Amino acid sequence: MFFHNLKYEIILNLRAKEVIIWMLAFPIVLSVLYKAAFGNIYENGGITTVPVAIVENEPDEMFRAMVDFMGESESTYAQDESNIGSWLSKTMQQKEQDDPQQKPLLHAIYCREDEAYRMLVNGDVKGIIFVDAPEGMAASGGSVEAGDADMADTDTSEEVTAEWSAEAIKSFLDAFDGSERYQNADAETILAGEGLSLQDAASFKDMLDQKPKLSLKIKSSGMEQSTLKRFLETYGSLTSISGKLADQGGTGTSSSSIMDSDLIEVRKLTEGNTDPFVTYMYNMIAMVALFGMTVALHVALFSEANLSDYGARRSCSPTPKLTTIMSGLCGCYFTQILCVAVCITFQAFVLKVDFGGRLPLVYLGGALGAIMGVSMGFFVGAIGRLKYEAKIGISMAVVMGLSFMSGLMFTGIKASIEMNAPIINDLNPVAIIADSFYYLSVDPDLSRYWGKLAVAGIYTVIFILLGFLMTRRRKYESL
Amino acid sequence: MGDTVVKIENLVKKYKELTAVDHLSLEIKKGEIFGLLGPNGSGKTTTISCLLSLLAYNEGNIELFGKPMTPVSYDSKAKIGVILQNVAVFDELNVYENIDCFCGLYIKDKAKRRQYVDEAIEFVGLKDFTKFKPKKLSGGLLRRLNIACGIAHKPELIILDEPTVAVDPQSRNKILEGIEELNRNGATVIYTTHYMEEVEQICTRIAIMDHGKKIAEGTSGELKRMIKNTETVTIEMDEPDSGLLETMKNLENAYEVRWEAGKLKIFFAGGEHNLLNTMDTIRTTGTHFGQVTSELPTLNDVFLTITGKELRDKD
Repeated sequence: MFFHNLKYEIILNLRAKEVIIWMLAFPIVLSVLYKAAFGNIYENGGITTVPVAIVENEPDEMFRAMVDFMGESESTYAQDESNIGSWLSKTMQQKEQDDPQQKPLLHAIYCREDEAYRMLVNGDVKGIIFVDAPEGMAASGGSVEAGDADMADTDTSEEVTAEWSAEAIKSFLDAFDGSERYQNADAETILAGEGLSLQDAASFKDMLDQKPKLSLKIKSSGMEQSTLKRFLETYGSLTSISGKLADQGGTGTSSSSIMDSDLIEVRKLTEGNTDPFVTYMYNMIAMVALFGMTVALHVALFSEANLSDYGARRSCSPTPKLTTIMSGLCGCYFTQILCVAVCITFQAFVLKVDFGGRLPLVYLGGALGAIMGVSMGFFVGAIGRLKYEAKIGISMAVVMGLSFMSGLMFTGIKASIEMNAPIINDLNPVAIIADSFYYLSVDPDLSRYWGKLAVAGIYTVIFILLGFLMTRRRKYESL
Repeated sequence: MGDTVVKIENLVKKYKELTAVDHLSLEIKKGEIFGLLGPNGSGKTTTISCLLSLLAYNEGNIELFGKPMTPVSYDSKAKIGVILQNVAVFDELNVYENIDCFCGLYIKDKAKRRQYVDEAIEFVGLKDFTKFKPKKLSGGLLRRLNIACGIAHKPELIILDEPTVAVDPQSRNKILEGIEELNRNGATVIYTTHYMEEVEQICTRIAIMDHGKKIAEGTSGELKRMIKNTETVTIEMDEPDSGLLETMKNLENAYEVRWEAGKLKIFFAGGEHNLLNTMDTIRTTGTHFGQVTSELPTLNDVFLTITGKELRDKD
């Protein structure tokens, strides 16, 4: 009886239009759309070197060091003013020819203000960073402001103003999170890790307090301009945190754990890979897995005499309800795992998404996600006496909502939730699966990956138990 | 008691304040086509649901095949075929697969099941439609498929709950003929409906229900003999004068005369040649008349006589 039911369960699932549309066609179409939208960036290694002009009205060695670290720099002071654009172009081409694999984030041109404006108008650079004298000791040095907007011959002139936000700090910490290099480390270790020493801390702090004010001027909006803005924000985070670190070192608190201090709040950053394209793919796989909810709604529905005519017919038969439910669940597990596997295979082998060399573990995570989704659907199908169509609608809305919160539509929402209500990310089933993939990509250690799968496993057990609890009745008060 | 298939004693089922089944007792013998007749809401389907142990009930005992019926009476369930009021087949499966799917809940052996499915398809006349999906079938064919799904495993007891609702006359006749054939092949049948003609046509014994109570039980003839009326003669004519009405009342065996909606109705209790006597009498009075009909009592008359109302939802 079990295998007979299982056979028809799988046939029913694979012939259901909803399964074909939502589990197979929708993710594939969405994957292709994402590929079309972001694939170019992805294929180019995710980094485009952004040419930027830097006008130093006040020298800032630390900022220069940062620019050198993140990219490469040139000075135009010795160049012929009339031919700066072609010089810049040739220089960049030469760099690429010298080392095509090496793609720096920035190509900085230190120049005078008028040269910078000319290059910006001509499109030779994507923005101008002004390094000005601080307005006062307390000047944040972290503000990113725009210069004057009344540029001649510019299409649009946009002012970008951003505080050193929690988001920026988070971005900075993101680098730490992947490797956990600084887990439980004290200030001395962290400074040492960054090539600094405690002896330098006091003077370092003074330097930071007086660091010049940075401002960014751009001509139009775009990916490269966003990169510049992001760069300045990250730099601000670094200097801000380093300043506080210096405070600690200078006042003899070096032995205190940086993670225990109120300086840094440790958060499990689950925003995903630094490459947004792959993050979207993770979230999509997680969403497809959770769509298993809709596949499994009928398991309880078709087993309960008070929920459907199919249930009544089956309840009249000599096949025990447990057999009916178990075969239904197994059929749904098979179907859903198959759909997730198709989705992952399509992304990995057709769209060439790089899952970090751990593809089998991605399949495993997807399979467990599918099992969790199906189990959720079994539970939802068992509760209440809503119509099947209503439960389908509710399930779809729930999955889409959870996917949205997990960053499927845009990745920032998840970071925002992590900052304000991290428990939601911890409990969000889509985020759990997406995070497990994320850890596969960024963490050489698999413990956090297994941790996420363990949470998914716990969810699965809970939903199955609740589902069975709801369907344990053998007689009904009403039909 | 060896030939008793179903025994229901003092069954009571309440939905809060509403008593859906009120101290119902029934005994159905092997080989019967037992009709449960009653208007919608009279408790027929609730009785069937209790009988199948789908519904919890407040009082009473139910036995099937001499054993108490419980949700885990798998031996008894294996001998039952159920055709519920609503069509319950899968749109994604074709005719053959649907029957095989439900037959597989009863029959493990593949070869035997294949044979049973083929026979069921033949029986309901769907041989030309085995590869058709349910959405491609007409309402009548869909009902036949629904029946095939319920009877493919060759049950000893077949329960049909209003199987002909919204079915065209041709399919209805086919279904009724099929039920009689199943019965001839040895199956006991419980047939619930609110169509009295169907019950009269196929049922060997009938229980009439209203408001959860059994108000009468017996064969069609026995039930009809429970009421005074044996024949009703109807004559189309202009409004009669009091003299003619009096004359008709004095006809032999006539116990009531009524003029309504352009028709004179004369009700007889027993006797023979009532129609001929009526015609002779009316001719002697020189009254002009139109169409004359004679009707024997129906189960509706029985229901009307007992409850004071007609069977509702007549088609």
